[in-house]
Amino acid sequence: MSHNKKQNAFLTLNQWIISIGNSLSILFLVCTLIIVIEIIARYIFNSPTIWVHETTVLISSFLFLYAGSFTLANNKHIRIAMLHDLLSPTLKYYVDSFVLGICILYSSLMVYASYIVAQKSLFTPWGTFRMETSGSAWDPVIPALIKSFLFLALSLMLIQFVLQFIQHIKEKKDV
Amino acid sequence: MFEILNISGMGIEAGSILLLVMMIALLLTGMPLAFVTGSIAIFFIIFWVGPNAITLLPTRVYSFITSYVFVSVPMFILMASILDKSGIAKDLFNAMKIVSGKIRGGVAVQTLFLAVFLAAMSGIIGGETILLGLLALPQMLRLGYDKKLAIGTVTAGGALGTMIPPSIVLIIYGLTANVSISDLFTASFVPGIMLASFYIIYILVRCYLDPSLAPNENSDNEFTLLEKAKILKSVILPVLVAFSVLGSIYLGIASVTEASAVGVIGIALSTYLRKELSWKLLKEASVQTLQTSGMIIWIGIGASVLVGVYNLMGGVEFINNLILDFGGGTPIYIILLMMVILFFLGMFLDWVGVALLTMPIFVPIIIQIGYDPIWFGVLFAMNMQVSFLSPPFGPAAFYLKSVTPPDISLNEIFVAAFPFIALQILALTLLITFPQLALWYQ
Repeated sequence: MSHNKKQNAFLTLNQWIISIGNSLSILFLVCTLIIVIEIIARYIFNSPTIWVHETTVLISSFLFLYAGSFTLANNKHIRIAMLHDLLSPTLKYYVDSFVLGICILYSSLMVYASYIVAQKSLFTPWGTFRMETSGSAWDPVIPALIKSFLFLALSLMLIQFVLQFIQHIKEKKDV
Repeated sequence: MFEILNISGMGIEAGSILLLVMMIALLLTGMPLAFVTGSIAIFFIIFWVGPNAITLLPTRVYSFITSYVFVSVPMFILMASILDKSGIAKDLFNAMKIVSGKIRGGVAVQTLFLAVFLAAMSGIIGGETILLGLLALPQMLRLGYDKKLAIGTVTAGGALGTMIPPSIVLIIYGLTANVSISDLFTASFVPGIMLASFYIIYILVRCYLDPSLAPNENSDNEFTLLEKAKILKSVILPVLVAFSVLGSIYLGIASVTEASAVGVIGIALSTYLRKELSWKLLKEASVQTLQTSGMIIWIGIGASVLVGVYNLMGGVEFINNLILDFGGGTPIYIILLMMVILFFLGMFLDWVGVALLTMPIFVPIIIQIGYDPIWFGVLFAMNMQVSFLSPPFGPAAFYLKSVTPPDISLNEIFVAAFPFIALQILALTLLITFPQLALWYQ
């Protein structure tokens, strides 16, 4: 039985993640350029910047975190498929359900843990909003940003796993 | 509620075995390595260390991804991706022919020269193996080269990317072991070239002993002087880029991250001058970089949280004592034991996983028994060369399989790689016996 594509939230989300990722990946080029700007500023104009280090770390950590979901949407995470390929369709179904179940458990606990960490970097213990800064000369709010990204990236991953699980169960019904 | 379920009473020996069994079992279900290690970390933090420690995991992820040197990883991947998508490799391949044109087995030697140059421009394994598989392998097969020799050359040559600097394996090692990455690059240069020379000598010896392995090409394919000049002109810039990237790291002019960004600009400029640079090429290379970073970094994230938890469980200390007691504590036995463990893990885990799981334990021991962690890093990179080629999951073989004609089976690729694995083990043995091969510069 064929699925109505509109109803397949799993595929739709993956397509979104992939197409956003395709655009976001350009940020690697931006990263390259700002590192080169720093080299030029330091060696040619003799005035090193204070923002390049932390900005590149911010961009690249953001991309690293997003890349997890991107690679998941493309189904390119490294795994040993050899034994899995030998399983009978029924057994494969149960093994996959089990694996997805573990992935959901893992990512939901990580979402919970990263929520606590992000919250601590965004609020003082007595509840006022203040973003954690890096403490360097420039002192940007980058640690708070990256910790929030981490929470968001893990939440996205959790949603991916949950939708994949729902899709997986639906497909079984159709067999 | 979790206090009742605490299993730490079983002791660290049983705990370590449980961890290993869980890891192998989950890996065999086809679950991605990045999530296997992470899930096990969560399991042990809840049922062993105590659920309150769970915030340790995101904190470790945070410190893992925010290191400035780590930015060089996507930069080197980007550099390699642009290189892969340009015609530079093809021209380099032709240029190498000028060097190796008339000798027996010339195309195989030419392939290895190309492999060394590509390795000096990129630090990853997949792209290079695929390039060689597309460029060199069809030509060797067409000329009637021995199939095994040709396949082996391409697989082993492609893996050199992680041995000859700049190499992502060494960057990850340097980060984990907390040693200078530029020192690692310097130290791995001679062993890397040595390994490549072993391959070349092996090919030459076999081809001269049995000329039927490598029929000579017809002489009408010779280049004229003008053609030679044209080919050399087209590759001179990318080769200069490679030299300047490594050179600036060795001379201490630029940090590894800066050198990697300059390398990206340099390769992009080379493709521009070759009139190949387009927005499409840059975009495709960036997407490829995101993909490859996703694979590498998430395996790293999983492995780094698992090691953090294992450390809290007292596992690192346990393994530490176990290894230090091995063979009556004789340093050389300890090194050999470590090599065996790395071989074994390399069979099942990706190299990033192996590095992040073992090095926090191994490197302090290496220092304690009086060896140089820089030397051990080179040893690790050499060891991982073996894991790239060896069955059942050697990634170099899988990469090659993805671009070879269907009549070449995975099995054939693994068999073809055996003599080259033997050469890698020879190089590894020499490196253990003569640490000066890596440390001559000190």
